[in-house]
Amino acid sequence: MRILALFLVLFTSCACGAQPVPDIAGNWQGRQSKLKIARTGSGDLRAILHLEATPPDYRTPLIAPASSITFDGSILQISIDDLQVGYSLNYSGKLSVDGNTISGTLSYLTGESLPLVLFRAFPTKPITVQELEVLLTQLSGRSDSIVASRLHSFQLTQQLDAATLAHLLNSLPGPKSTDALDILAAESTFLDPPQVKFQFSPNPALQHSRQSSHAPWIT
Amino acid sequence: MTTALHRQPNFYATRITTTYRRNFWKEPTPKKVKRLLSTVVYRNGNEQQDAKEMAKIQGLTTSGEFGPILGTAMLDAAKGNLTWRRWQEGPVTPFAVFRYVVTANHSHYEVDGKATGYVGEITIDPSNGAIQRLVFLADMPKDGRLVTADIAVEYGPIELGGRTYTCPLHGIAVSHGFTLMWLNEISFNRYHLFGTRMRILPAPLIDHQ
Repeated sequence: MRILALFLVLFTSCACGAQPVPDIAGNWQGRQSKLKIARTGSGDLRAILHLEATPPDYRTPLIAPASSITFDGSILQISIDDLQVGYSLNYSGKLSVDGNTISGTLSYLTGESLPLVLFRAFPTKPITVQELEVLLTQLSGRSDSIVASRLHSFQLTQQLDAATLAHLLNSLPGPKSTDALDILAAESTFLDPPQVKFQFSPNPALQHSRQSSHAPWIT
Repeated sequence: MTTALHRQPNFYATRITTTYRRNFWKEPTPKKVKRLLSTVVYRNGNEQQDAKEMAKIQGLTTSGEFGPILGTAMLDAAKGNLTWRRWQEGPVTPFAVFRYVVTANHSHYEVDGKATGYVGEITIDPSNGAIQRLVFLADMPKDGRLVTADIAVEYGPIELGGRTYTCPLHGIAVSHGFTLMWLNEISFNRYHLFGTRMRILPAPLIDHQ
C-alpha cells in the first residue's frame, strides 16, 4: 500500500512538473513603470522598460531598450546600459506560477535598489483551437456582445487556419463576435497549427535532405 | 521561380487592407481603425501599387506579394539553411513546411527601410510544387523602437483567362512597438486580366435628324 501511495505521489509530482512554463513575453506594468517583453523570430527576447521617474532626482523619466535579457523559466534578468541619464540599471524578478506577476528588485549602479512588482497588463487565458471550437458550441444561443466579450478574454496557443475560421465564423451571432474571432485568428497567424497525424511516412523530406541541401520541390 | 512569375499575364486585382490598432497599456483588445481599398496592377512582370493609397496605411504592411516577396524568400532561402519544419494540413493533401534563418547582413527583408535578420517559413503543396504560404518573423535589433515586425502571405489558385495561376489571397502584417500594436489584414480579390473587348453594334435603323 505504501509503495502504491509513493508511486501516486511521484506520478502526481511528475504530472505537475510537465505543466508548460508560462511565457514571459507580454506587457507588464507596476508602480510608475511599464515593461514590454517580446520574442523575435529566432526566439530571443527583447525588452523595453519605461520608468516614470529615475533616481537620483526622481524627476527624469526613462524609456530604454534592454541591453541584455535572460529568462530561465522562472527568473527574469534585465540590464539596461547606456542610459540617457548616464548610468546602468538591472532588474531581477521571479515569475509567478500563474504567469501573471513578476516580483523583483530594480537596482541602480548608484547603489540604490527598490522592490518592483509587475503585473501582466490585460491578462488573457490561453486556448487551443479545439477548446475554442468547444467554447463556441457552448456559447451557442448567447448574444453577440456576450460571445465577443468571452472571445476577447482568450488568446490562441495554436494557429487558426482559414478553413476552420470560416467554419467557426458561420456559427457566430453578429458583427462584434465576428470581429473578435477575426482578431484572435489574425493574432494566431504566426503560431504553429495543431498537430495532425497523417496517414503516410512522417517525414520523407528528411530523407531527401540527406542527399540535397535543398527542398525537393524548390528547383 | 522568378521566371515562372514573369510568365504571369498582365492583370489587376483589388487589395483590401483592414487596419487594427491597440494601445497595450490602455486597451485590452485591438480596435478596427481603417479599411482601405486599392488596386494592384501586375504588368510585364512588375507590380504597381498606388503610392498615395499605400501611404495611407498605418503600421507595418506588405507589398510585393506578386513578385518581390517571393523573390526575397527564394533568394534568402537559397542562401540560408533551409530545414524541414513539419507537415501541415492542406485542403486536399498535406503541405510541407520548411524554415530558414537569415542574418541582417544577408537579408533582403526590410523593416523601416533597414535590412533585418529574420526567420522565414515556406509552405509548399508537394502535389504541384506551388508555394502556399510565406512567413517572415523578424529578428529585430535590441536598440530598435519596434520589437516585432512579422508578415505572412497566403497564396492560392486563381483562374485568369482560362488558366489557373497561384496568386496572393490573404496577408497579415503585425508590428509591436512599446505602446502600439498595428495589425494589417490584407485580402486580394476581383482578379481581372488586362485585355481589349470589342462589341459590334448594328447601325441604327432609323436615322434621327
